[in-house]
Amino acid sequence: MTNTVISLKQVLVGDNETQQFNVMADFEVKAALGKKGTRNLDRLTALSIYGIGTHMDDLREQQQADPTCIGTVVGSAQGSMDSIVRFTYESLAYDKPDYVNPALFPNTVMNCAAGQSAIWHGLKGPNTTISAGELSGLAAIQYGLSLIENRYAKTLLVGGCEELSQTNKKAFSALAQQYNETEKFTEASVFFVMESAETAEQYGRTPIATVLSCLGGFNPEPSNAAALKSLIADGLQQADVTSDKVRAVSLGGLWPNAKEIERMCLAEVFDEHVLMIDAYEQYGNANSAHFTLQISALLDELQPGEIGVAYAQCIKGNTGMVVIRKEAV
Amino acid sequence: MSVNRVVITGLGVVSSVGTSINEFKHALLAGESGAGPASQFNTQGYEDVVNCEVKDFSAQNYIKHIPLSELGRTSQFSIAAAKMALDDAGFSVEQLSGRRIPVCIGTTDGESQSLDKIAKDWVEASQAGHDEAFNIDLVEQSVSANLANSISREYGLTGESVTISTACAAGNYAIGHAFDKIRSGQAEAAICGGSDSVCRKTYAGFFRLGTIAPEKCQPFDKNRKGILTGEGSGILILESLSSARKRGAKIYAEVLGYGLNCDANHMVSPNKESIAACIRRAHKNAGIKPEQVDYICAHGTGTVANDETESGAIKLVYGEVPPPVSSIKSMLGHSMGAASAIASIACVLAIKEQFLPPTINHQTADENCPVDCIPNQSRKSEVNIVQNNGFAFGGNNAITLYGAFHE
Repeated sequence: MTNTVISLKQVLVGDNETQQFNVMADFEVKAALGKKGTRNLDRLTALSIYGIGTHMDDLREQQQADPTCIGTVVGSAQGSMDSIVRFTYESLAYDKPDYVNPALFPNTVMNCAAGQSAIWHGLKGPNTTISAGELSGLAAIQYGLSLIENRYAKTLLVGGCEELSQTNKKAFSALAQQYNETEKFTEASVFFVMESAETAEQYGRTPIATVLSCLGGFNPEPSNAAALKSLIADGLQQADVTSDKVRAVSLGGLWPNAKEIERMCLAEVFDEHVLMIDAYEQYGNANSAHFTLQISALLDELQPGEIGVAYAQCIKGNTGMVVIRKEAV
Repeated sequence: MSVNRVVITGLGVVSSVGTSINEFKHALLAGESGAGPASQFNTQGYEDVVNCEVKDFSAQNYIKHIPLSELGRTSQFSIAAAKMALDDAGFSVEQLSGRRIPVCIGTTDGESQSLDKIAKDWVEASQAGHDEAFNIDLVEQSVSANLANSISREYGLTGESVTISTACAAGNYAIGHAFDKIRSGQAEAAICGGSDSVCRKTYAGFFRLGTIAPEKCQPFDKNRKGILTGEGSGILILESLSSARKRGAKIYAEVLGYGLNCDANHMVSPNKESIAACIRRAHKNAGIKPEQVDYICAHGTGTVANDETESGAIKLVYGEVPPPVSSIKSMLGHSMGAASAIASIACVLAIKEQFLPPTINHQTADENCPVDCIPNQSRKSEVNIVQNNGFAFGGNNAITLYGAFHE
């Protein structure tokens, strides 16, 4: 069982879920972040800077005392696929490859969002970008827990971020066709503040939830439920929670195959009265940010003292689960 | 929380100077160069491109369970290096299948050649006036998670499978994460390292920034002209001491600790004070003092800015006479997210074989880089503790420390 809490959460997500590609239509980079320093930012980076920025007022006192103790872990499946593919595109499409814009080259590394967010907000602690497909957010939480428990950082901004650009819309469309799924994708920027209960108390932040356990895994046989079921059982055991104590379960609900496996685990492991949340039904596929949306939806349903579980299997076989106890509204 | 000692029991490498630990070791000892004409990516519009490519790589020699057509070049490198490392550590396929062993692989560009091809198809379609869907096989290949997942899939592993995409320090990040999992008792063994492939995108970017050397990489040289892009994979098997003992495994060296921090200052320019702070963090984490370090395997890209800043940071921590500092990028080029993982293997071999790898192509010392860069020839030396530097775009620093294993 861990002693790490989520003390703040911020969820930014597409604003019209009837759209196949649910962008945050109200989010415009220069309007959100100002004109200075934003000319070359890609949308993913801007969404990350903005999402993290919503928490910075609450961290200011701590940051002034020790800027090196706050870091960030960004779950990102692919960085900005748009920035990466466009850079190569432009090197091929122009008369000379040297006509590419050098100021856009840093956008093509997958840690651009995390790095620029650190520059923007002065975050000098560990700064990590982690990729596990649609479970990138889970990977970020598990990695963040490790950094906090092993004392590499006191407080971390941990989350998942996804843009809907022309490039990844085309990639998502190809995947939807391949896996016989409707096109229902959303942009999102979801960041939690994670820290030990003691750090939260020291700086007067009231925990929203305690992370009782967090496990990432892999399913080498993606159509077999055994690996995910065993992961869930182990995660519950680590959290010292029996399945009948779980009030709500938040599923990923992504792609027909994984959806079926997640439902099988639900039926086999949990009480029939457990409340089921399906993040895909609620939001669409948020790719890198999907698991963080699952957790957010779970927190919205739980009352203080109640326990919830979020788990998922992604298209590439990554699995993961989190057990949380809601602490305060 | 329990604290386990973490040892290295297996090594695997795919590189421009050798695709086996033995070849790689001999290349380091002999100071071989992996540079040559580019053939692995589309160089349209550029002349006489020199880089450090993996030659004569036969994926089918290493990969048994996944159709090669599903794998990009970087995932193929990852599986190949992992197979060498697992064989070296004495793990059989039967011992691994179904085990919750974590796999953690660092990268800068992931499946960059698949992404390059998506761009090329798009350009051709646009020029023909079409709006074509992306090729699904390339989209499936290009997912960065594949770098770790392909190893998990090949071996039927069920543990955490993550790709750390913190650019050119990512290999050290991945090793650090695996180290924490074992040190804290969450895992008995882990597969970790870094992988990348040469690609047009990265060449075009560094070329445009004016940081590509025309023919050779000369770290710490007064007349250094920049990097050569490179590729490969370095994989290490980390294991708790008790697990290694139980299996009777050979122990190469011990992972002592690591440090992470972020400059939070500039996306591409390194920062001397912040790197020095990261070195101090790493030493503290490993429980060692600067005077115990026998060798520093530098980030040493061969750019004017990196080598001067890195030398300055080393001086801030070590004073006027730091231990010898060399850059194996003089031989291998810059293999991006694989670089600090392959360099970690060089550090482990330096400890195991008691030598210091050289900085080749060294002609003229630079007063702004006042380090003993082990010019041109490897050196026999007593090597007990080594420091491995990794820095990345985004101001991300990750430094690992390795030590000879003593009971």
